[in-house]
Amino acid sequence: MEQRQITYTEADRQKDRANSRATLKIYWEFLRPSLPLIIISLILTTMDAVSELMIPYLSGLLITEGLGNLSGSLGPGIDVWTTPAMNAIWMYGGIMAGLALLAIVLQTFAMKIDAQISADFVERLRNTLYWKVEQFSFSNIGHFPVSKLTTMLSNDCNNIRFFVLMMTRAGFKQPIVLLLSFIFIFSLNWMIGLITLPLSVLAFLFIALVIWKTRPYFIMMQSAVDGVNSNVEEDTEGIREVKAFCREGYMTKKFGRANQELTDISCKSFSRIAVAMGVTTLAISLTIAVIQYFGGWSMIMTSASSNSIFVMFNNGQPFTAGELSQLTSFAAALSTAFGFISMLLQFYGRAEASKERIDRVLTEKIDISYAPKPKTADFDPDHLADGHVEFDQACFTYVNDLEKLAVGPISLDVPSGKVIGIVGGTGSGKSSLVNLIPRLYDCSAGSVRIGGHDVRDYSLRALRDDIGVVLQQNVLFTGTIRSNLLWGKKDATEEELWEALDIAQASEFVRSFKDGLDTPVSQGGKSVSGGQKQRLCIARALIKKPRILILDDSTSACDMETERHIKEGLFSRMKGTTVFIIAQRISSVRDADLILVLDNGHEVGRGTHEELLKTCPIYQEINAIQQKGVGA
Amino acid sequence: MSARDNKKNSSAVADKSFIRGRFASRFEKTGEGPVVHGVRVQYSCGMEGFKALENTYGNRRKGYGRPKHSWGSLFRVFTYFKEDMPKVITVVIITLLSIGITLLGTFLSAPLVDALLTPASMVSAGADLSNYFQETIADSMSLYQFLYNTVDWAAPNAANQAMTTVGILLLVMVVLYLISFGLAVAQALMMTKLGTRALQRMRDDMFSKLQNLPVSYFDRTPHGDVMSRFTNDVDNISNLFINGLVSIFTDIVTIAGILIFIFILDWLLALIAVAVECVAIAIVIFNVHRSVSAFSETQVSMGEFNGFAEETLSGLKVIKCFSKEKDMSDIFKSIDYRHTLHNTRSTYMSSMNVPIVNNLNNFATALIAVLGSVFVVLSFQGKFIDGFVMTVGTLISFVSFLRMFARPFNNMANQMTMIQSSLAGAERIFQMMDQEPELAHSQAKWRSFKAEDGRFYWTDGKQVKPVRGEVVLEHVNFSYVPGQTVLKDISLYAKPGQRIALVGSTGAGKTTITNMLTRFYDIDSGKITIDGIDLKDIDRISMRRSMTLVLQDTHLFTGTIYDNIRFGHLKATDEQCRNAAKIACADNFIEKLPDGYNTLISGQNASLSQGQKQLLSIARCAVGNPPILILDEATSSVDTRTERLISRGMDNIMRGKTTFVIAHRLSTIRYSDCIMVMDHGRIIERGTHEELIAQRGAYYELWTGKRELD
Repeated sequence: MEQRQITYTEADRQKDRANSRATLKIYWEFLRPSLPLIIISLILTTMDAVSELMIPYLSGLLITEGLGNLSGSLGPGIDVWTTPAMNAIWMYGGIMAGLALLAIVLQTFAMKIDAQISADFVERLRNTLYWKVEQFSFSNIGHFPVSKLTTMLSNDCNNIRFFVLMMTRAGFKQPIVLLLSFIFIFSLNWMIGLITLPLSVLAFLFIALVIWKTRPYFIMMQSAVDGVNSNVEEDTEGIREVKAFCREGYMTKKFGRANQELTDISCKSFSRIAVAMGVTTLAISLTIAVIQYFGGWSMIMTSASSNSIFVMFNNGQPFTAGELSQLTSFAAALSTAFGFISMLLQFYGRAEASKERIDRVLTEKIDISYAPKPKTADFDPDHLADGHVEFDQACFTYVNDLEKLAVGPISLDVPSGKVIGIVGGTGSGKSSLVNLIPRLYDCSAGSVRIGGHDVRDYSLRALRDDIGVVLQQNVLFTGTIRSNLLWGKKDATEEELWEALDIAQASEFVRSFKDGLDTPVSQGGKSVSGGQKQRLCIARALIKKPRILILDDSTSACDMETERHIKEGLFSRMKGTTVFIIAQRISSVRDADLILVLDNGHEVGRGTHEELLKTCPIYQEINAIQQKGVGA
Repeated sequence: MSARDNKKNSSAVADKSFIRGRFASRFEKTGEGPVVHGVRVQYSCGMEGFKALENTYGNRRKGYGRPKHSWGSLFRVFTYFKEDMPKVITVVIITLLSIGITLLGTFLSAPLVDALLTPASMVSAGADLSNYFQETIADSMSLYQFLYNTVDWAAPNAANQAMTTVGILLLVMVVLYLISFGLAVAQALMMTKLGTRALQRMRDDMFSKLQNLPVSYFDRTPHGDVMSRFTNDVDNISNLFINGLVSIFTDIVTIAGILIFIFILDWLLALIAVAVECVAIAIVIFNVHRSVSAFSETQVSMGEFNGFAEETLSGLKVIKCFSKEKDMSDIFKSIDYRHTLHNTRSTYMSSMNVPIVNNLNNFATALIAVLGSVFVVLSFQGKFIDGFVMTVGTLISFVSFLRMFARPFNNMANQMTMIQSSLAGAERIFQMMDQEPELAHSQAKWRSFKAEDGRFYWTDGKQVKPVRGEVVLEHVNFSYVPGQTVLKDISLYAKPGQRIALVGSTGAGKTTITNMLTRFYDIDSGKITIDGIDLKDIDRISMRRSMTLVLQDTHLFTGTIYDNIRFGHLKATDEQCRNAAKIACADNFIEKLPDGYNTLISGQNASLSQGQKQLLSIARCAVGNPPILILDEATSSVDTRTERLISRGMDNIMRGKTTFVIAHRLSTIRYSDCIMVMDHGRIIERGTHEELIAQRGAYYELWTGKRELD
């Protein structure tokens, strides 16, 4: 039974740190368009922070100057309504109420801007991430499972969004609150300030340390999410097999393990955070107790004698009960700010982990780059001049080791308009060879030339627009038959669509559908049969009217008759197009101009059908089997 | 058709209102940005880009459906705590204790200044305490008096005595803090454990429910959307489970405590306070109501782009062959744009609660202070309600209590965000789980089982008979979409051990017949029996156990080669697996893999060709060895040499088994016992190869190449 271990090693960490530095500038670009909003948000936040500290100050004044003196103003004969106490109550109460209403407007506005900033930021991130993945070459694709990429696009991006959101909300405001509180505390009594500062710093450092230490767990947690995701993906993709083999229980167990992994890791990381939060709360409570004890001493000492050394701490003034209670309330504001900041740190931990995962995609080196030669009189990098394909000692290896070639070295000259058949057993390198033509992979050694120029001299556009490829594992996308066909040519007319369908022998069944071209296609093309899917895929490639057409085992699910018709159509209506046909069946390639027989990546025969029947033993063998029929 | 249009229209209308509502669209950056480290920064597609694509992507079939809003879903998620009930109760007790201790701490620290510090400083300054005692201590709570009386104020060291008491009091409080720290940590640890376990159970439950859904659900739902439910929607609930619940509980208890306290202090002011809070609560409820649907849209659109990303990234190679990167990126951006609109809206609407509640609290404090002083004055002048006395002292303690009120209310407002997003997640989770599953197990009369001797038997609890594999279809009709019949009046008879071939043009209904036999879909009318038992009377799962299916599009699962072969028969030994691989001629290439049979393969492993995958799936079938075999284009991607090599093995596998073979290569099916030629959902010819050739009908034409299959 497979045991997937989720780990995070020192090497990973080093690599991630390097990536992290490289991508910072990208993230800055995501943020830049939002700068005006950020500035507005900062202004609003500052106003908000000030008003937040004003409230306890005002309510303090309301109590001491207003309510506290009210009883003194109560007496027979005194017009209470005009006493200073009552005035103070009216005034401070009014300011407080007005400030509260103003704050609602300000903060609501700020909330809206903050929501916008964070959502925009992550929209840009997500769009860029998707764009980057689309740039992947065929070999890059293998490095990242789809389930992981979808986790990144949704889950990881969301972690980052939360952090940005909290950052805009609390990242600026809470430090201001913190700073102002400290200023107030120091101005009231700097001895107490000196005592509280290190305690707060210690608490902060503790939280930061815990988050830092928990970071690998956060990364592992996201990997565990990938695990859950890939199990679900696998199950939904292969549901027919799961059900046919009654493996529901087995899959559930397998999912259960991934789920357990996720549960364990998230439990571990959340627990650490929980303990850290508890420690901060404790530190804050202890700070307040310390303030009260030393504040008390200050009070007594300064009132006993104005020469006491304690007066010095208190800016030369006696320390009063009112000041003590103000100190306590600032300490409370301090604690709230700390609470927010440690929450922010926690979000940072998760966002950082997610960012590093995303960074791995953003910094993934794309191993095929396009540097087309400039346009000259006899060379246009944007169009293939003709379909003349030459392989010159072309070799290819998947493992970056020229000793372990998947195919080659092969030299072959195919003039424009010729039909080349390639046959050979499973894994003989047929697909690898033709993949070199449109640069799905690059030659590891040797070269491929089209129209006399190295394929690396052409632009991507030339290679994609003028070469039609029908892959072995082909897919149709959710949409309609029409929307899938239009992939080949965006502005194809109705006639062009039907012409391509005609050649691909698909027009008859498409016509038989009630909705014709607008028949819906479900994910992976499951709503049409295997043979229909293949013909639609061929039609999709034909619409481009390519100069070179590559059919990689793309008629395996069609019967021989259909296949024969497809070929006839190709030969008669696509004259001038060079066609490469990879096939299992001799009948698919027998009328090709040239047939190449591959075995284990090496060429073992070349020639027409008749020639090969005389010269190539492997070809003879294949032919013999197919003549007799399987099961004889 | 019209229903679809309506739906499209309504969603378009909804979108437009969001676009209007989107603030600061002037700051919206569209198009592409600079290239940094080889990455071209992609901005939003903007409203125009969105509108341009709205139609195209409106055509994309949306299989998700909108979840129904019901607060019931939120309560339903709590059922996942049921198994840990004792622990939940423990956490509740710990939480109550912790709240109690916190309140006790607040209670103890209240008289610190008035009962000890102020008199002490007065004593130090040489002032007289008797007035102070009369004014402040005499009619206050007994704790004040108790603390005041611990000090002998007449003594010369009164200040020191007072500080000792302060020290003791603070020490007690530090002890309380420590206890409360211990409790908080215990509570947090337990709750983390409980929360993550409840989530685990929820995901497990989702997955096992998913397993029971009919194949049609998977055919119509984007896979990425299902994945999003497992991760993103569950994730939404995780915050609620791990932090939210305890916090909400604490807040409710605290609010209740404070409410009781302020009502005891002064019912009139309490009523005013409650009235203002009610306004806040009403605004919050109104807001929550509106933002829940925004959250729901956020989750739905997240599922949507997840589905799109999953599909397009799985087919990335095709996208690259057609240079469709830009187009796909545009569609992605347009979905993302919509998501961002909903996302902004839900974030904003839910967070609006916090400033409203917070500031209304401040507003209430000011209001109470002003109104309270008016009451004080009026009651002093005797112009107020009879018998109602309000003193300045009460008012002051009232106002300070109101300030304590603010904190739990703020927290609650904060938690509302969590609750709303949890609700949006829960709805989507339960929407999936509440899909009609395949018919239940218990309603079936017959089951099959594999006995000790390795053979399969039917049993209905009373009688036991061997599975022989006699399959009969009588007048079967079927349509995937009502009105578009795919199978018309199909009757066929397969004797045990026979090999039945289905031939016909693509779309003739061959694969549909296998869907009927495996009961991936149920027939509309007619009857299918196996060994004389109606298929409908057989338990679906155990029926599938007695047959094996090899598909054209083979799926392998993450695991070793062994694991994948064993998929056919979990108890197979390594040796049995290797034998099966040999029969399928897969051993050759397996041995060349880096770790042989222990090579790990992942679902979409590119290093195995389609043909190799098919060989593995044949091995998977060989190891299971059940009495009925369905081969749907099982060897279409296997090269002919290999096909010939495995044909002997296949003969061995098929011997004594009822086999249905679908193949395009007529050579593959030539030696079948009976060949059914299908056309447009009907069987038009049947017989052995020789008989059909002799008939000179459709099959003859196919075989000789005179007729085209379409």
